[in-house]
Amino acid sequence: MSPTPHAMMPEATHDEAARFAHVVGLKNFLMRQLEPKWRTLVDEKLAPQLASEGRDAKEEYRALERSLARLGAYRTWQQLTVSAQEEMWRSVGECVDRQLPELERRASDSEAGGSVRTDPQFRPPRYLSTVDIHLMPGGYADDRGEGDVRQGAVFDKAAALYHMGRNGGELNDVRGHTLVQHYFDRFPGMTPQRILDMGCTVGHSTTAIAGYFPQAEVHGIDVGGALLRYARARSASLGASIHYSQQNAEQTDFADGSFDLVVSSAVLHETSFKALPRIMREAHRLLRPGGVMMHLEVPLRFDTASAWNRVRGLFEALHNNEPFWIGAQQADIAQTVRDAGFADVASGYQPAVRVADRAAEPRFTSTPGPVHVVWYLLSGVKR
Amino acid sequence: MTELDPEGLVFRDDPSKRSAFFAGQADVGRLLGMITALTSEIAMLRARLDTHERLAAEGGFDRAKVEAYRPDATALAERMTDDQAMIGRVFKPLSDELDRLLEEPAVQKTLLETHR
Repeated sequence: MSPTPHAMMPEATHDEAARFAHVVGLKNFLMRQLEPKWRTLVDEKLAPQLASEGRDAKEEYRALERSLARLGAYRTWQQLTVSAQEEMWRSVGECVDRQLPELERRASDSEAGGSVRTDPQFRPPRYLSTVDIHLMPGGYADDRGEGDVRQGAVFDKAAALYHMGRNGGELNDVRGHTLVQHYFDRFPGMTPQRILDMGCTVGHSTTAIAGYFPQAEVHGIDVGGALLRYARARSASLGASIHYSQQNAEQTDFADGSFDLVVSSAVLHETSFKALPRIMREAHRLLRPGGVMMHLEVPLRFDTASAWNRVRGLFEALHNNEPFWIGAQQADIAQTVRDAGFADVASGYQPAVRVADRAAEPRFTSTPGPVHVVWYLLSGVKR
Repeated sequence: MTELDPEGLVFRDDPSKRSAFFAGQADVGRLLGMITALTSEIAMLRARLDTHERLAAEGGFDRAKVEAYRPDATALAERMTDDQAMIGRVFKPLSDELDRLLEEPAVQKTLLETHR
């Protein structure tokens, strides 16, 4: 068996580990060997020809996509990209199912701290329930009842493959460290006592954040019971006592002014135009005066995306089941934050870090960069 | 349907169904799914063979030793290179077709014509 980074991570056999390495390799091939050719065709061959007729390929990306879809090669690339994603979930699911009783036993035996509160009446919002996000069978909300941790184990194991190791390997915590670095960059004198992570999944970022503030009471909310049961046990095995509950970030049951710091990590692009202002208003309600809100997001904006990036974005939205992928890149989220009443609103790019350092020279910048090298950060203060 | 709805969301025409890229030829999609799975099995077998060869060089192996074997960083890097080459060979017809499209002004012209 492979060494695991914490007690809950499913162990991979020799053959499972080989399949996982291969699916990463296949994704790498599709993304780094084939996709650049489509990019060249669209951005360097087709777009200039359209431009010579006074037309803008970026504006016509939907028609371009339809045109590309007439090519068998394009449809094959699309199908293989979907098949590789499905193969990842299938192979991870098989690995988890082989050891699920043992994982459930470990989750229930864990005596270390934290808590989990699920709600059998909970219904996830439409933007998370209409399709299985990222093609993960069952979606974030999949829950087979009391004691079930399957979706958490599947998500945790697959996440490192999904990010192809770029988010901190099997701990997948670079985004959590990067959020804390943003906090240190902007608010170097502050130390939160109560922290909420909205859309925490299995607590990848939540646990990393908790590590910097050992005195703080840390909460995480998400839509899936199986995710959250797994998250509690995972955090506990990493030495963090975190309180997880099954709630919608648009409307939680925490009291007004409950927190000093409210964060989310790559969650906003899984919501909707209607949900965004509600989430910001809820964060504002939950913060005490002087409290800080921070959201980390993918550093992509639709207005600066090339024609190919728009075509690729449409593929991501429709076929990797990311329905708000384009909407989120078009939304003026900073304005939504101001409208919710936040002051000192800042938006920009935070270089990804594996460890946050309060004493480090601030590196929060207005200069964009590639995904995983920088993250889009948006923060504000409740006055 | 590729327009965002009022909530900024976009879904396939029938979100309950899997993506279908080969209208009227569902078998082509299934076949590509099977090739993807088959490639994964070949990769696993190649890794297993590599494990046998490396253990043989160290003096021998049995099933337990094979199951317990994990490649070190060097061996893993060699396997990844080997795997990329295998993937490149299996999917070469697709890669070649893409190269042809990039070099073929007539195809690009057709694309832009169908685009209008």
